[in-house]
Amino acid sequence: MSALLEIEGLRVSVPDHGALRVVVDRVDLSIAAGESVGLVGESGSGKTITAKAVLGLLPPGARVEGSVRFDGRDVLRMSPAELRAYRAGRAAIVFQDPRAHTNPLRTVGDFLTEGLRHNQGLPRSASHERARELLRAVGVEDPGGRMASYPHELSGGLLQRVMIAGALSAEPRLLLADEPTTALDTVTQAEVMAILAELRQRLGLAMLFITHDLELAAVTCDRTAVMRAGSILEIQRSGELHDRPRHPYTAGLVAARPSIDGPSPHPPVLPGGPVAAEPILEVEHLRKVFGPRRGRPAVVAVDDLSFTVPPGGALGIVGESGSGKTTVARMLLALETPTSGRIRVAGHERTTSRSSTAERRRRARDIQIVFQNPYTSLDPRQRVGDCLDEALRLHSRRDRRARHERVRQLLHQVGLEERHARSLPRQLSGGQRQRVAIARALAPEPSILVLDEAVSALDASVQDQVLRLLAAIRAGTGLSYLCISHDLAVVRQVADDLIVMPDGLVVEAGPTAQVLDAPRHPYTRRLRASVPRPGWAPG
Amino acid sequence: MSAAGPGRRLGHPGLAALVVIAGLGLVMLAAPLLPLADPADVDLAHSFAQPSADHPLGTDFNGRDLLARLVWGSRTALLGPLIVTAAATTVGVLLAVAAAWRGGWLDSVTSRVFDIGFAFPGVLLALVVAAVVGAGLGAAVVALAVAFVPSIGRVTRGTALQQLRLPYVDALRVQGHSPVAICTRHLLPNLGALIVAQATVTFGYALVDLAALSYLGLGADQATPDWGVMVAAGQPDILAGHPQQSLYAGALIVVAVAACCVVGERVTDREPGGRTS
Repeated sequence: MSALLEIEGLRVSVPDHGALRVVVDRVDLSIAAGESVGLVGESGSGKTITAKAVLGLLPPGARVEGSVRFDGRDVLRMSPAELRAYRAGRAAIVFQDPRAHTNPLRTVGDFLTEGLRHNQGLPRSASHERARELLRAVGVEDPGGRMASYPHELSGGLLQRVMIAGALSAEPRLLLADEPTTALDTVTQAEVMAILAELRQRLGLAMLFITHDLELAAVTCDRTAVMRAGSILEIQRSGELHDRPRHPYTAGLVAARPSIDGPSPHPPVLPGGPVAAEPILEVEHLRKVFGPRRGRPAVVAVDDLSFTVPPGGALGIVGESGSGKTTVARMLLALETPTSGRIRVAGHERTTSRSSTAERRRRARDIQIVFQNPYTSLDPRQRVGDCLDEALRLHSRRDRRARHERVRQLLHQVGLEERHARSLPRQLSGGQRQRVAIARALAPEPSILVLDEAVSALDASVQDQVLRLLAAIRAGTGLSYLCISHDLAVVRQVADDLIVMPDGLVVEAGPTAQVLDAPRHPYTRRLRASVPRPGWAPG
Repeated sequence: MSAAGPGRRLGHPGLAALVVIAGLGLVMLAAPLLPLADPADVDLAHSFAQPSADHPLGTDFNGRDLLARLVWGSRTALLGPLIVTAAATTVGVLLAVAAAWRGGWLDSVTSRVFDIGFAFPGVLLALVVAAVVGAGLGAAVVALAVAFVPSIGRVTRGTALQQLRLPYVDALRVQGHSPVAICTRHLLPNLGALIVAQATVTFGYALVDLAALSYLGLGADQATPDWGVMVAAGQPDILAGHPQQSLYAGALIVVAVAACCVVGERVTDREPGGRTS
């Protein structure tokens, strides 16, 4: 069988602190024309570097051995001009974060027609016609109108479709998709995956689908490879891999993926004591209206939201992106002022956004947050140890030595090693950064922790470890959680109770198991149906 | 990515420019220690002397040693822009950060003032000041410092706004840190490369502007050795076949300004803030 892409004995080393570090080792992988292959692994396992090697996009100073043959020609030995032609016409890539890969000052039309005009030499009017066609092909309604939109006017799912349209503009034969749906909620993910599947079939496109989600790869790809620490552990037909994994690591991955069906694997252990205590968090008739501003109508982000969280309890808020979940979190943390309503945290009334020093610090010991994006939630110039030390210095009277000891404890608590204290955020993987963010949130010893999509960006096995860690912390300290997520499986593991809030308005609430097992509202049902699991088809 | 040293970050042209700036600064500081003739020593017998052991670059119309005058001239020529840069950067960055953090009316007012000030040439402001309070290096330095605040403030405010939107700033607020602590300990270090880049470029502009003012007789006193003054003083001699004074002083101005621009641009190119948005 002649493969479209054939990777043999690929070994990539990148410079790291003056020495070369091997990040991809002995990778053999072939993709036939029209075939889709999933590449599953945790962050730092070498998936993305492998994809970059396929495109000849490795960072300067990297050393590559082995061969990457596309249609019989070795990509690693192409001249710069050949490489350009190859990338412009034969292989294309869709990245994880569409916003980082679009120019905010240029319209969708500019983005799409630029490649058509420069790489394919289409005249202006023909390139516009073709761009509209491409948008239609990826299921964008009103393509003519969308051409004039700027990236910030589009939702994440829509923008990712535009990126796919851009990748397809050169009519490639191979599409590399690097975590294309990781930043999207499950409903949008299902839509984007459906479009990819349809396009593949219609255009006979081969695809290398890179993801940390084994479940998603298993249901959307013909074959799936599992990668760890730079090497491929096993590669099998997707169904086989999922049902009968050969390698223990794969079996672990399959098991680690939290399920929305079964009961929570780590049932919450409530600390002893009376449960009838005063709630740790009390929200009444909370409402937030943005605007109206500069001709734009007012937007009701959150409408009449009421809930309580008991001490040691855990509440989940579920909704897709843009549903006002994050606005709720920002109001609880006093980063945003509610339009009306009442918030009481740990017995302290949140009246105005008074910010005297004492008030600010007390608030920090009441409530803390872990944000979604581990890449931007840490100061890029601050070492991990300094970051934790800074938090401790503000909230305790420990001396230097005691703080140092506490930093060590915190790092240990979140599964990091002591040497990580000297690391800068950019030297850590996404999972490690999120652990630092959790450690920082734990430093002031808050009564309640808001998890704003806190594990959404993590790999399945890391996610599982972090969820276990969070469960252990809760059991050990009686810390309460408010878990905000679009991921039902995560919410199922963390939360005792659940609020479903698709659009700033609560449509369903109750104990987690009850809401998920017997959803009453159509939105909850749709949300539940969009989660990939065996037998699931996108769309 | 591995940590890049300053050499890696600046590249060869940047490094060379940095060496030029350091060299000029060193000469400026070491002027009293160098074995030079007295720059004010008039010797009409040796008017326009050719280069010799006594006068390595020759003398001017009054027989004063050109090398000594150039070296001592670096004091006003470089110290003035240094003060302008330090003052303008400090005020500009403080205003910009305060405006970006507070937002609302403070931001609107500051931004408008920056916009208006940006449209007003620094040299013109200095001319107006000279007309009102009289010529002099002090007045010129103050006027230029005021004039450079808007250009620094505008750019700094934009980047500060970008940084403040990042979740790490929210995380710090939730941790209970005061706005001042967040700005000084986190925001400013992250704006550091941008501030250094702007300061370097501003220094170059200030050097040209101050030299121009001195040339026009509105800056440094005509008797003090200063590059701008020297260019002006040597002008009549050019027609007499002695272009050395204007030429040497002018060349030094060009070299110093070019070096500043190169360093400034190199730092801007490598500015990590540019990648985070």
